[in-house]
Amino acid sequence: MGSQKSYVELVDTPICMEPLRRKIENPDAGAHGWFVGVTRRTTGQRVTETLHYEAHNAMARRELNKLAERAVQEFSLLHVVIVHRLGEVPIAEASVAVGCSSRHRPETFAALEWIMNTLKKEVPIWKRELYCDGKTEWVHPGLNSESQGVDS
Amino acid sequence: MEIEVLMFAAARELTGCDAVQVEVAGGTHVPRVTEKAQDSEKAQDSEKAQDSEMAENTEMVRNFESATVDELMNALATQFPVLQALLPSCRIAVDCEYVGTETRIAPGAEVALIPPVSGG
Repeated sequence: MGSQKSYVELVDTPICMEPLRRKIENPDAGAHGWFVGVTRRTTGQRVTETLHYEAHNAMARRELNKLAERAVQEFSLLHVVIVHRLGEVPIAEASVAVGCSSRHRPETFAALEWIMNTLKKEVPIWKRELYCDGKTEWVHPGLNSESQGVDS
Repeated sequence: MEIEVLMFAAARELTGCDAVQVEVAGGTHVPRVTEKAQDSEKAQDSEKAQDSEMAENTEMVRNFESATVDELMNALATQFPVLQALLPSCRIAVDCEYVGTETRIAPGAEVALIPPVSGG
C-alpha cells in the first residue's frame, strides 16, 4: 500500500513500473490509472534515432511536487506518482510515467490528462531529437518549424 | 549588478555555456537618496526603522542593489545576440520559481533562463 500521497522522481535509468504500482495501492481505491509517455520514432516526415532529455533538476523536482500536490487536492486522489526519465531515452522506451489512484474512475481519468498537460507546459524539462539524418534539435514548442506536434 | 544566469537546452547550446554572466544596470529609481539611505541603514543596525521616511529610503537602497527581470532580459538580448530569437519565448526562474517581468532579482539569487519546455 502506498505510504505517501504523492511520489515524484527524476531518474536516469529505465523507468521500472512494478515498484511504482505499489505506491498507488490503497484499500479505498476503486481505480488505478497509468499514463506512460514513450519516445516515438516519427515526427511528420522526420525519423528520430534517439532522444535526450535534460532538466533544471532542482526546479523540475519542485514543479513536479507542486503538480502532484495540486492534483491530489483538485481531483481528490488517494495517491499520485510522477516519474520522468532524463539523459538518453532510446526509441519506444518510457520517458514519463504518471500513476493515480482514486475512489472512482472519473478522478483518475481527469487527473492523468491534467497532470500531463500541465507537466508539458510548466516543468523545466527539455528533449533533444537526434534524427536519422544526423541532425540534432532541441524541442522548444512554438519555436521549432518542423517539430510541431512532437508529443508523447 | 552582475547576474549569473543558468542556461538550458537550446540556450545552453547557443551560448556554449552552462551559465553566463550578465551586467545589468539596475536601480532606475535610485539615486540622490542613496547616501542618506545608507545612513538610515546603518542606524537600523542599532535601532529599528521607526518612521516611514527611513523605510522608504531603505527600499531605495534595496532597489539600487537589484534589477528587474525585464532589465535582465534586455541585458541578455544586448550582451548575447545569439539568444535573441529564443528570448521572447523564454521565462525567468529565480530560486527555482517562475517570476514575472517586474520582479526584482535579489543579489545572490539563483537565476535561470527557461526556454519553452518539452518534457513528457
